[in-house]
Amino acid sequence: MMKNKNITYIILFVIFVAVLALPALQTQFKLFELKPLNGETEPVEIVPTFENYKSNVLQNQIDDYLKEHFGFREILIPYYNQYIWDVFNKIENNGIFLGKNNWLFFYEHLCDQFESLTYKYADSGEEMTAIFERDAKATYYLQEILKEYGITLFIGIAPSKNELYPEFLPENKRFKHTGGVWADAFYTKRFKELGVNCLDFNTIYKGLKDSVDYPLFYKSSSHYSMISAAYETDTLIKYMESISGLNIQNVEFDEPHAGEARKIDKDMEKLFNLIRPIEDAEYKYLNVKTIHDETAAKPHWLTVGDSFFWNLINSIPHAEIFNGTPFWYYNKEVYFDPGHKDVSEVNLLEELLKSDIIMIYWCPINLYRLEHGFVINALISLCYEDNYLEEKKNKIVQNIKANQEWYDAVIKQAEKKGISMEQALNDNADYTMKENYEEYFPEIFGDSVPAIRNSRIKKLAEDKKQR
Amino acid sequence: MVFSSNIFLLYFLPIFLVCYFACPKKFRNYIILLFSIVFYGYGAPDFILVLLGSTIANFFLVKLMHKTEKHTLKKFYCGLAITVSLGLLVYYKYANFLVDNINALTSLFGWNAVTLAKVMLPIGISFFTFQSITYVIDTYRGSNEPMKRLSDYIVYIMMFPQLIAGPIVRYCDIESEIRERSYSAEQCLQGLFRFVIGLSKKVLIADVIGIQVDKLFATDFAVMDSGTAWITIAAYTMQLYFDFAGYSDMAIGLGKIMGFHFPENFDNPYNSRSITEFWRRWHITLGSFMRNYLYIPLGGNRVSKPRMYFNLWIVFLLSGLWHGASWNFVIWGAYHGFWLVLERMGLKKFYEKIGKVPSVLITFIIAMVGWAIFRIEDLGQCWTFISRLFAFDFQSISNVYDSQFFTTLIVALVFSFITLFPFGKKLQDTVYYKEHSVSGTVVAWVFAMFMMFFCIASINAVGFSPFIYFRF
Repeated sequence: MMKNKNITYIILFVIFVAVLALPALQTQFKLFELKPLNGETEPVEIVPTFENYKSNVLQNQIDDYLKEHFGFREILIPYYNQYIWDVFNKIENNGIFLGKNNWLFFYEHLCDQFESLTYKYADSGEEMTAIFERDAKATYYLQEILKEYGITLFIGIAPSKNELYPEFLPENKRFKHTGGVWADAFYTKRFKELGVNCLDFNTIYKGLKDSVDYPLFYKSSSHYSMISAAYETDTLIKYMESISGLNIQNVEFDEPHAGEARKIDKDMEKLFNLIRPIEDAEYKYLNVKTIHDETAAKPHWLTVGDSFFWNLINSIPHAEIFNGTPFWYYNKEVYFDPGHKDVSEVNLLEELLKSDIIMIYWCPINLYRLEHGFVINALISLCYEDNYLEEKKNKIVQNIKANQEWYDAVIKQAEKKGISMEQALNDNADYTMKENYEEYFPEIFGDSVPAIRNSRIKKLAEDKKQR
Repeated sequence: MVFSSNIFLLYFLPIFLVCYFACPKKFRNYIILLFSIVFYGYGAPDFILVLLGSTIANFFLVKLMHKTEKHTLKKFYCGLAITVSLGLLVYYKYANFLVDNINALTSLFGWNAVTLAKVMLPIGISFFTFQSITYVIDTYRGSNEPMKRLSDYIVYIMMFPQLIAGPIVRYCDIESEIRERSYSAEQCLQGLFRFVIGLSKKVLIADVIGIQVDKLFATDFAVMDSGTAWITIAAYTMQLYFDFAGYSDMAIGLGKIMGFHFPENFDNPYNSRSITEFWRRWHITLGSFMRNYLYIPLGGNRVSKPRMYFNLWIVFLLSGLWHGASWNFVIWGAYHGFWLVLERMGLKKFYEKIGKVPSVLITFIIAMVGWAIFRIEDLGQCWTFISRLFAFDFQSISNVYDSQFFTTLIVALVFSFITLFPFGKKLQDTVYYKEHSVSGTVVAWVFAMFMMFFCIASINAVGFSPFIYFRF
């Protein structure tokens, strides 16, 4: 009897230890294929250097890595989150908060967060305004230079859920001034004054809010609804026609139909990784069809923007209407262009001149970085010779090497980040250049449209005409 | 490395347990030694050599002390060994504090400031210093023989379960188990259950409350209403208890798995009817250290009353300073010393008169106010906070409303006071101390397994905030 009891206890203890070891084994050997959790996280890199170990950086990296990769998290986290939701009506996501009637909002999309973003990118409201002014002017110059070659540039502003549905915000999350600058208010006004083409869906949606019978946003989505985006494709194409003078194939719509919720219509809820859905709304969708017009042009449409563009491009039959629709996501990753994966691989000048229409499309928070490395780089490539940028960068690298203190700091950076010295020098040169654009490229920051041009433009424009 | 981390729970612990039990008994101390070095070296790489060096030095000094026949030389070695241990503690923990205060004084006279590079505090130094002192003094007093093997001594000082947060294990309490200990599967399971209970206290109660506590303490105390102030301090009171008691449970549980019997560190301290009783129930091993190695050598109760009160004060001032190198800890120690002296002077008789519930409530409030001093380093801010507690302007608490926080706080309060009632005491005895039948053990095992993974999920889910898309 005693022996049996002891054996039972030994078995229980061994099983406990074995089960406790399973997550580590799953992490290392992927014993079971599990569906990954929804959402993207910053990739955690472990840089196993002695310096990192001594300074506890390595230990923090390991902690962060294990949080993102420990075995069976795909099972454990959803159950825990479901418990938190069911018992406390609470969500485990620092970036999202729960509004009235279970409406979900992103903290960073809050209007007062808009203002406080000022201090993320600048030291004061004045400094931020100066950056906005510089970028508004640069956008105008870019628009005017591109116009010379028959290319139409316009800015698109996506709608904001917080601005559209303030009634669902909890009282303590209502708009409060933080003393910062509001990017979309600045740009919509300034674009008007400068004559920059701007399609402001944010304002359009505010006008639609009380007059349409379909949801503009769902409770648990951060992006505007697919059905509203589908309807807006008509507005988009007509706007493109009006500013470019091109005849583009128009679109028509079927009757809306109910369907299973698409990922983008409950994207915030997906981030909670729950077992059961929290919203039981009827999701409606719309088929958008091309009105065939043999005389219509098939323009090449380049977009630089954020995730709000997915709703538009996924609603429109783009392959029928456009002759190529490359999308440069955050001016970084390339989509709808089989030849490229990253914007750094693209020849910017050639890509600009290949386009007929270029749209810069941001939701209001991303307007704080309107140019996003695109507008100014585009201006540089249009105004200066191809090797000019490289020459400037090389000069900065030489300066770094000549300055022992700076060079030592770069060595430390390279070690800390685990990157090559060449890469670290390049990053520093890039940073220095971005911080001092006006000094390195004075011609494109003047009071009028820059007069100088890259000598290659002429040939590229002629090639395009012939095509 | 902390117990409630992925690296410990998912890697270190299972690997250690497999190695420990796969190894013949005579080599198990070496396994503990190896894993303890890894445990400490992982979290505090800069200090592992300091810890090892001071431990080795102490071992040989005590050996010399024991060998020598001359009393004065014995005393010298004893003093030297204590100086090595305390010297490290003073340097690492109090050097910055001392220099800051010296500079504050010298600046009054316009003298030059003393400069000292920022000294980092080695984790756990307060605990292993005290343990080494018990070894030196117990051996000096002849209560025990010194360790024969250096490795055994290092195991005593560095054993990872109690290395960084106690309990402070007296050498004489564990000496025999370091040399030889017995194992049983039942004891291992009990240790495992105790570990899971501790982990749950830390992760599911202390950490959950702690998130809101940090937010509340970050608000402007000047505009805080009394209701929010009391919720804040009650929550912090619970957070501290469940965090520390949870950690002690984990240490005791791990010790049990390894065949050791560490002393209990908490005994429902918030059920105390006086601050004197509170200190017999809160951080028991520290209280016992202070009594045995400071209060009694100072004369204890065998001196005149004024001297005894003075001794009590000194003990609590030093106890406060032991908790941290800043003035708020000193004041916190003095505050407790003040209540202890008052109780000796007659307050205790008043508590006995008013009955159990009022005296527990008064003691709890005194302890809570003490925790405000403990938490808020800036003395001006601390005073503002305490004055908000007693301003009696109770307003809406909607700005601290978080259902999980409040539910957890209520659960914590219930568990803190449950043993005031007979059924609570019975429940505690059943969970902690009673021997279970096989079926009872199986049920406990299932529950422990569930709680273990629930805690792991909680550790990782809190703060897991993915984005919809990767953004640049």
